[in-house]
Amino acid sequence: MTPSADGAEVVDLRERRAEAPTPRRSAHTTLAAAMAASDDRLRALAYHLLGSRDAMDDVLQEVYVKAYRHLDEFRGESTIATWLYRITYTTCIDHLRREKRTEPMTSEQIEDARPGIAGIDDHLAIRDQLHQALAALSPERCAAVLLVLRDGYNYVDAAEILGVPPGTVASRVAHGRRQLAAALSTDTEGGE
Amino acid sequence: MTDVERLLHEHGAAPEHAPGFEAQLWMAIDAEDARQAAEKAGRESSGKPDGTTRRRSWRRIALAAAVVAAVAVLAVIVYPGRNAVRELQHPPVANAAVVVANVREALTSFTTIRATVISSRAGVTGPEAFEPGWTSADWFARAKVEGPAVPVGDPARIWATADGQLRNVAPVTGASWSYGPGPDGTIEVTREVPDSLELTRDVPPVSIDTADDATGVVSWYAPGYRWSTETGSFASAEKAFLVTGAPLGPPDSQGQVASWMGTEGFSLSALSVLAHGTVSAATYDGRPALVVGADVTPGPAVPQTTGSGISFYGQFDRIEITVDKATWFPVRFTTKLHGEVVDDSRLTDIRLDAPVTDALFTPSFPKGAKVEASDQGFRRVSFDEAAHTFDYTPLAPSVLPSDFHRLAAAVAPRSRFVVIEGLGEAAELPSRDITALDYRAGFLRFTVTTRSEAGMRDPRLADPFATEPDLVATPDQREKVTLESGALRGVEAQLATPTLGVPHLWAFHDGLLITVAGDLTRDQLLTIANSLEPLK
Repeated sequence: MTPSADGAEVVDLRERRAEAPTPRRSAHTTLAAAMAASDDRLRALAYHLLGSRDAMDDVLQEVYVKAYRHLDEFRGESTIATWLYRITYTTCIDHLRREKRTEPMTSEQIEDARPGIAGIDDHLAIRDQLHQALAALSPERCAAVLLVLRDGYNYVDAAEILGVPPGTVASRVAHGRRQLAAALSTDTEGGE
Repeated sequence: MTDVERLLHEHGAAPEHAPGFEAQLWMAIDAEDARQAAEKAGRESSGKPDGTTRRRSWRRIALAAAVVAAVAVLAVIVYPGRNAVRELQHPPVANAAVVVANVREALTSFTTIRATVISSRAGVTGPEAFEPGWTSADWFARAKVEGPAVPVGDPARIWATADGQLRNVAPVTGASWSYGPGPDGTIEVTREVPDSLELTRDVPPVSIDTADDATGVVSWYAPGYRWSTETGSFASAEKAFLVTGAPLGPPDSQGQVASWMGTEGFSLSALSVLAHGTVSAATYDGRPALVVGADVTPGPAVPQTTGSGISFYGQFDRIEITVDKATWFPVRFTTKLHGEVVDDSRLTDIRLDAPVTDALFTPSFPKGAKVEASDQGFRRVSFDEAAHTFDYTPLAPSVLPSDFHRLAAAVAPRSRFVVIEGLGEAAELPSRDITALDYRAGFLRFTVTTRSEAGMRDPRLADPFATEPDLVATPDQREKVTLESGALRGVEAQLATPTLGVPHLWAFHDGLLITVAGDLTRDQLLTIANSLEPLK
């Protein structure tokens, strides 16, 4: 609360955000803020790993409730986004193990579904094709590609999320990039 | 960036969550809260303290919980606290006052909104003339709604922030947007307008409005369209408008910088009426929702001042608001007459608190566009400067309702008051030496203005806020009050709470006209008016 020049009791929004609300409200607010900031990326990870919106929603329900349940245990050693990413990744992997994920597409199937990128001007067609190509990667490789190439994580942070050494991440990204490029008929130029 | 990375960035997004995802999630969170509370209570009742709480009996816990619950409900009804949004997501007995209180709270809590707005309307017809002895009510009793409401234009896309920024991308007549289920099952607008105006020649024919209360800059541009002054239609010269010095709020800004809710018909003043209404359960966009409805007085209907026929305003006898149950956000506003929909405005594809950038609200015109610039004269100043700009000291509230804070101050040597004459033609009256102070609580706002009374005692200003026929307060919505404290102690003020217009109060004192108007209840209006003191 800030006394204003005209004597009014003015609540500054910044102060309001810094206030210590009830624990429950605080947890709700923290979760809502984390969701707002990360949901797009978490959805992308879950969707491409699991292959359907229904599975994506199921897993993210589980992820957010898990995060809410363990919010008190979040130590701030990583960002909350990284922490959520890690929960999402491990929950997806668990889900795939439970569901015995359908076999990835064969290279022949990918070949059949590979029109030249230049000839496709329809966003939806490209999106579907990309989704299929990502689904053809192993979940570990797919996650590494999304983390590094799409969401801009460096190898060290991605390694923390995926629970593997940075070198493994680099290897997965390199192989994943080549596999995607082949599936999408595009080049692999560009450094890492 | 390689092609693979580019493709991942441009096409690697996932579909939106299925409808109801968030509602389901918050219910799961509620269940988790309940589970944790039960676990904790179990530990306590079984004599196994968790190290931070002392043992209590079940009876004491139940009693304490009942008292806390009762206080919480009362607190929400009487004075909505900021903790109300999540705590009362599922009231056991839906009460209109509780729902309305939670809607107000939600509107103060969220910081941004992105949504698609779909509006539809039906015509109303009635007898051509008044029979002897008829009142407006008699006329409306014979009026009827012509057919089902039909879409008004195509869906518009809005972005708004609690800092008073607004972007409205709306189709111009003839645009061809489509709205419906997307290929992955989500409901979507299939022709999105790119944020960048670099592709102006290729984008669909839409108008793009931006407004920023804090800077007073308003813009309008219809990319790809060319306006012909000769034919009065979009044909030849491409045109864009850039307004600086826009007024802050009503009564000066009506029709200028409007809040997204005002723009789209979501009238917050209606909430006061709805607080006395009834509640029913519903589903909206696949999510649990509540509909709050209340009967209102239609009208007035009056013989036209010129020519023949009847002019009628406020052509509804019931208003309804649909509220998303998980967030308490108002998602639909409907007016009805004799049970038929007259106006319907609904939001869909809503994202709350999604990140936005200032660039979204920054006017941007392509090279070659002819930009018509104008200055409406309201200069943004600090509150300190506002106190000393003119040869009077403006009044400012010394008490603010919960969560409200100062947003901006503006001064203008001259402005124009738009008034309607006898519910007919509009007229503009000059206004002088205006100081406007704007206050915000999330998406809620109110404005206090002080100005010279010169020209303001014109009989056409019987209500300085009645600038649109539908915003006129009916006689039972107007009252005269004598202010009891503050700088206006003993002064008689006029207070109006029209069903759809902005609640407002105005008073003359010491050669000045003072106004208070905004998203306030009647009691809040009076509290603020009674706390007005010279701005220091």
